[in-house]
Order: sequence, then C-alpha cells, then structure tokens
Amino acid sequence: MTRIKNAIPKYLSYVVLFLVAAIVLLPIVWLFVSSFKSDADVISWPPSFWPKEWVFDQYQYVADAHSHI
Amino acid sequence: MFRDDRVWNATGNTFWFAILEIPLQIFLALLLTMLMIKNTRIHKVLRATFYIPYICSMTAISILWSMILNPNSGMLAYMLRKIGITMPNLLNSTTWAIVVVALVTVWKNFGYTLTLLSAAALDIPAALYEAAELDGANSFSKFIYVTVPSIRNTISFCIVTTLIATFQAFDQIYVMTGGGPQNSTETLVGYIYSRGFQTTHDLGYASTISVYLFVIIAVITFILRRHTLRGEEES
Repeated sequence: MTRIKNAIPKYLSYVVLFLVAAIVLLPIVWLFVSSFKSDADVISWPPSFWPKEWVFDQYQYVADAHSHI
Repeated sequence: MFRDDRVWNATGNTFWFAILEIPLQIFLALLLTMLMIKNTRIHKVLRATFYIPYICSMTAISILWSMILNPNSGMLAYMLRKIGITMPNLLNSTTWAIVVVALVTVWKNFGYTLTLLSAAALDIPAALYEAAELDGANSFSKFIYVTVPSIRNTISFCIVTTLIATFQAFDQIYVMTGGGPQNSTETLVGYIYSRGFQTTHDLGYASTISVYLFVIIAVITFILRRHTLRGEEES
C-alpha cells in the first residue's frame, strides 16, 4: 500500500519537472534553430519550427564583423 | 516630485511587478526543489536545464518572447489558432502586459533561485530525514517540516536579492513594451530613464527619483532583514 502511495507522486513529479523543462527549453531551441533561418523565414506566416533551408550567412556575418574591429 | 502623477503610477507599477514576480519565482523554485531533492543524474541534468535561461542576456530573452507572443507572426499565436483560439495582443493590453513581462522575468530567473535553494537543500544531513521517516512523515511533510526550516536563511536571501532585482527591472520592460500601453508597465527605473535621457534631459529630476527608489529598496530590505533575523533568534 505504501509503495503505491509513493509511486504516484514520483510519477507526477516527473510530469511536472519535464513540463517545466519543456517550457524552458523550447524557446531556447527555437532561438537556436531560428539562427539558421533566412530573414524572410523568421517572420514568415505560418511560422515553422525548422528552417525551410539552412542558412549560415548570419554566422559568416558575425565572424566578418568581428574581424573589422 | 510627489505631485507628479507619473511617479505614483511608476511606483504602483513597480510594486505590482514585484508582487507578481517574487512569490511566483520563489514558489516555483521551492516546488522544483521539492521535486528534485535527490541528487540523481537526471536531477542534475534538469537543474542545468533550468539554469540555461539565466545565462542568456535579458535583452535577447525579451526579444525572443516578444516574437513568440506577437499576435500576428508569433509561434504561440499560430499554435493557438490551430486549436481555434485567437491570440489577444497581450503586450498591448494595459492589464496583461505587466503580467506577461513578470512571467518572462520569472522564466529567466527562477533557475538561479532554484540552484541556490537546491544547493542548500542538498546540504541537509540525511539523519534529519531518517528521523522524520521514523516519525512516519511522508515526502511532502518531510519537505515542509525538515527542508524548508533548514534552508530558511537561503530562502530569505533569495527573497531579498529577487526583490532588489525586480525593483530595478528595466531591460525586459524597455524591450518588450517600452513602458507600454499608456504607461501601464512603466516602472521607476523606466521613468528615470525616460526623464533623464529620452524625452527631456532632466537629469536632476531623474536623480531625485533614483534617490527615492533607493530609499524604497533600502527600507523594504531593512524590514525584511529584521524580520528574518528575529526568526533566527526564536529558533
């Protein structure tokens, strides 16, 4: 009986923990994935999670801009 | 200064923001501490996950959330429309804008509070829990009667630092609403900025409000500290 009593909160606690983890992680992952989108892709409607095509120009730009300093 | 309506409005907003933010952040951190009381590998991974937003820049987080919450092109609006709900423009509503900003602040900062609290909770000697178990305590009452009293000092430290941080909140409000609809999210620091550097370059007046803000924070911190110190003497 006590085993059942303890098992339910443990299962529930993982539901809560992973729910919060998803709320924390999804925007961050979306942010990271969006860094590979083209400018038009980022603000397109309907919004998509994954880029239509992977663009690396932004990283190129950041690397170049840094070399000017 | 005290005849300026915007000062009173900003004071009210600052307090409302703090009232929304601090309890939510502390209780969320406490709840997650309760659920992650054991130091297993998965708990360590989760704790690291919850800390990620804290290491990001507040400006980047604010831009990210205003993009997600954008009712025309945002991700959340799209998902809500799929299940048949039209997303209201939360950041344009005088009632909800400050709530949203407070929630985003909680989203960013609770990992820090959680780290402090669970570090303190992991330091509690196991003997205390064993004694509680012998008395027939379940995991919830163990948390309420053993963990919380033991990490009291850390909790009060978290409350004080969170309080100071919320009274100085600026970046998230400036980026997400800009003091926004009809000054309904303008906090004291925001008003100091707009008085001193934006519309009128009235630095003297801005300095006066800064001193006023300092006095508010000092008084509240002092009261809280006295309150927690008295608690220590009792126990």
